Amino acid sequence: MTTDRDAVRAFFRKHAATAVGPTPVQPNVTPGDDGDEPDAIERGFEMPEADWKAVVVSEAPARDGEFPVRFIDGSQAGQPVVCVRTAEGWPIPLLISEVGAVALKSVGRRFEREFVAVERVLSFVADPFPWEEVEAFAAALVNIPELKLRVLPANRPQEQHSPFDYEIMRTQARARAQQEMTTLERLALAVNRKVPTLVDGPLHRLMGSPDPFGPLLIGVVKTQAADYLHPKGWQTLLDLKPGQRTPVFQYEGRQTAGGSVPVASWYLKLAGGPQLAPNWGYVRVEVPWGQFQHQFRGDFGFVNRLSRWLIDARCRTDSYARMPVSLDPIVRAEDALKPLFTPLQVLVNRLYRQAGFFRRNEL
Amino acid sequence: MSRTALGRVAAPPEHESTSGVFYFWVDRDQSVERTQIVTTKSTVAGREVAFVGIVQEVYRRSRQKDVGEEAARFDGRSAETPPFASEGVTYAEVAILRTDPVAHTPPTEESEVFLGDEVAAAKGYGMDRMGQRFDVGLLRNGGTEFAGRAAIDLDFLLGKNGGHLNVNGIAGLGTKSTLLLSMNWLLLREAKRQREEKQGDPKRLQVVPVIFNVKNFDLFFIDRWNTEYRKEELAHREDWRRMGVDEPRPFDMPRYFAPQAKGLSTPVQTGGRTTDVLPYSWSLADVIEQELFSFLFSEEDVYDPNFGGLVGEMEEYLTSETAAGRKLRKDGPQTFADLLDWFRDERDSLFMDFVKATKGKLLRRLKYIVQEGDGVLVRKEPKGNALKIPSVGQDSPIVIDLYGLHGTPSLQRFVVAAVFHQIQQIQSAKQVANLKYLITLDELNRFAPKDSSDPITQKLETIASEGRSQGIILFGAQQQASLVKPRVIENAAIRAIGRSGTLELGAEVWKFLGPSARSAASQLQPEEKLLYQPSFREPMLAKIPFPPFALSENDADSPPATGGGDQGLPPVSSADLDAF
Repeated sequence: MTTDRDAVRAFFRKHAATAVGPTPVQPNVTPGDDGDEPDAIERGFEMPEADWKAVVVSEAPARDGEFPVRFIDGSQAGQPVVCVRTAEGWPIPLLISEVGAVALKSVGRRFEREFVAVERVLSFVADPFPWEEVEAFAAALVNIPELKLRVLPANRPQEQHSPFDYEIMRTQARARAQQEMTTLERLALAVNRKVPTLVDGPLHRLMGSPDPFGPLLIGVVKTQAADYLHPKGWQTLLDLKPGQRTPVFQYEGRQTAGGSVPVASWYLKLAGGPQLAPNWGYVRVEVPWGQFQHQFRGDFGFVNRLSRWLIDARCRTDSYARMPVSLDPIVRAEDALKPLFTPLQVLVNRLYRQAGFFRRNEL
Repeated sequence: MSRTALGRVAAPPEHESTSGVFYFWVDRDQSVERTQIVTTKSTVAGREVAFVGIVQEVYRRSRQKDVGEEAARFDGRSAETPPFASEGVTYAEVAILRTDPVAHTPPTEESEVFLGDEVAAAKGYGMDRMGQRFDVGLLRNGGTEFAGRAAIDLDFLLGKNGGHLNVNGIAGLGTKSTLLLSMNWLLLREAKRQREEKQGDPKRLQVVPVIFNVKNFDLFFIDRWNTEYRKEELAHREDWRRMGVDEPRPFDMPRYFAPQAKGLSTPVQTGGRTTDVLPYSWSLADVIEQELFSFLFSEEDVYDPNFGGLVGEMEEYLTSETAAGRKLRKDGPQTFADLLDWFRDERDSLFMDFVKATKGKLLRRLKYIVQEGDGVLVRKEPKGNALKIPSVGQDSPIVIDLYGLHGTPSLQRFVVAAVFHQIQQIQSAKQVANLKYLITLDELNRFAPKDSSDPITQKLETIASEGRSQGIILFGAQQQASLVKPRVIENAAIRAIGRSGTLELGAEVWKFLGPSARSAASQLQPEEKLLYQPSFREPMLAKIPFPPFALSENDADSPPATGGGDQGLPPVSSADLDAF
């Protein structure tokens, strides 16, 4: 009788598996395509492009419906754990990850966890392997109680990439795990669409076309992966003082399964000071264009009030590494999610034990 | 109905669980207090282990790493209100009292923790394993609630596995007297119950409580209702009822003894108690018969080889061994006055092994003692009113005053020694099985000071170390155990701690208590005691019900309680006591 452990070992043995670790990304690899490259940008919406200047955020408090009471955050922790070889000799790293998403709801001045999901996944480019083998392998892994790993087949890299490039294969596996995290974040968002919600990251990842008159959706982007600004815009951004923002600009978000997501966006400086680099301390805020135009009638007063709320909600915990670009509710969401993860090394060791990698490099 | 968990076990770095201690975080909707009894269960190697513990301390931790971050949340302005609450976490440290089955292992993290009830508390303190469970109060379960009755094991109190009770506490809170007297009251009640239920059983418990009064004449009113008790009688009565006593009441017909007044045959003035107090005194013949002669002299004198030897020779000279026991020889001095005259006149021809100077010293000491002790030591009478301790169980205590001798500590020590000596002689004869003498003595720091080795201290040390096997149980008390002879303290199997000073609690003698228990001991309420016996892994916090009997004249209700004493019954003579 073939056991689950046998199936795991057989797959690894047949495909010349060797243990690998979390090596640094090689610089010669083409950058990933997960940036926020926009399709079309309209920067003259609030003021002419050439006249851009910092806007001081007023002290006016946000009104009901203009600020979020629900907060979505996702997390992924993973590392390559095994590298197998295809018949063609392509190196295929297997990435073990835990992915999760959480929704916190503010009740008064407290937070309650409204939704949480965590999954353990093993992602890798599976196309080159016989499908029945992959299926048997996947079934075995999910049935091992101490692992409960769900296999996520990743797409083969595009034609222009060499299949012999380990980093490309690793990027594909990581992207697949992140996609799963995004799926969980979508689920967290979908559980309650009745209240204004803030998501950590750009909006296009999580939704299609939001209801222009539905509860407000806000995206707050910490990592700036695309260039939305003209030179004057950059000058304005780099000169921002805490409590100031750039003018609002509109851009057409990338196409998603649910359609494109045009958003009203602006940069907001949360923190600053003599020890902070000029390109640090600001976030980019997104609001669905439809909601901004129809529900808030393009009111820049709304932009200021929401910005004020975000400034007030900024993280003030010095010991938190990303404090200058973080919001307290999102830090709390992370705090609520991360402890549910199993230390990665524990999962790695369990997989190695199941795989017969007693000293990491033996079968 | 399912119980709501208080929280779950946590074991992060620096708060690891051990076989003695674990931590748990507290559910945000629950409240946890120090001294609460809690339970948890964990599966260890496939076996379910139940843990019972007591909350040692409760902590609150914010989410901030330092004070700077705490201030930053408010931008350094206390009037600010951050948009979101800090939402820290409350967690508690628990000392494990018991595991079932026995397992020297910690509970595992994330195990649910529940508030313990009476059953859990009883289990935690091993009440189901006690040889003779004896309820003494109500077991605290947090600040205001109780988890059933607080109990000790009589096997540890009355000699089987250990003996003696020691109470420590600062003055003025009734900390010590309440517990000591309550224990006497409860043991008298227990002896009476056994007498009624086990008639004819020679092994039933019999007790003779001997209570020394050392402050004012406070304990001369224990047969009267306590006015403070009366003021809130319903509440106090309910406490007693919860610990199984339906009819709390003052002591029934205690016997009071006070020093005989100088030159009279009546006792000294005993404050508000003017009747039914018997005088006690010793004549020379009493001293010789009860083998008390050496106790008349001070520590330094008796331990001087020359002087001690001379005292021994004189005692031997004065003693005549007869079939009826030791007697004062008939052809020698018959009173203390005679003794002084005789020795003054004859000393040059007596005790030739000793030099003149030593004899002169003995004469001077005798003269001083007889003068100082006049009253308690009758000078010219051949017979005194020597205390005679009964040799069978009693229904009421014997209260012996020492306060009337507070000007002459040497006489106080003499009286204590006389009583102990007599009891030892009775118990050596072993005429009554399971007869226990309960000796209540406060101010042990005065009677057995740490750096002393005088005869009384030695006597107390002997009682502490060997008394339990002779059925002599010391109920001792002091304000500072650190100033008392360690042997006396360490031999007490039952230790009770009322509110005590922090300086005192830092002393070596309290090292057996953990930091949390020591902290608790400095903050106890007057009615609370920490009880410890060798089978407890942690002290038990108990509320001792308010005493129905008066602990001082000020507390004494004027209408007398039913029964004897001040109630107009015929007075008893000391000679009657032997009839019990």
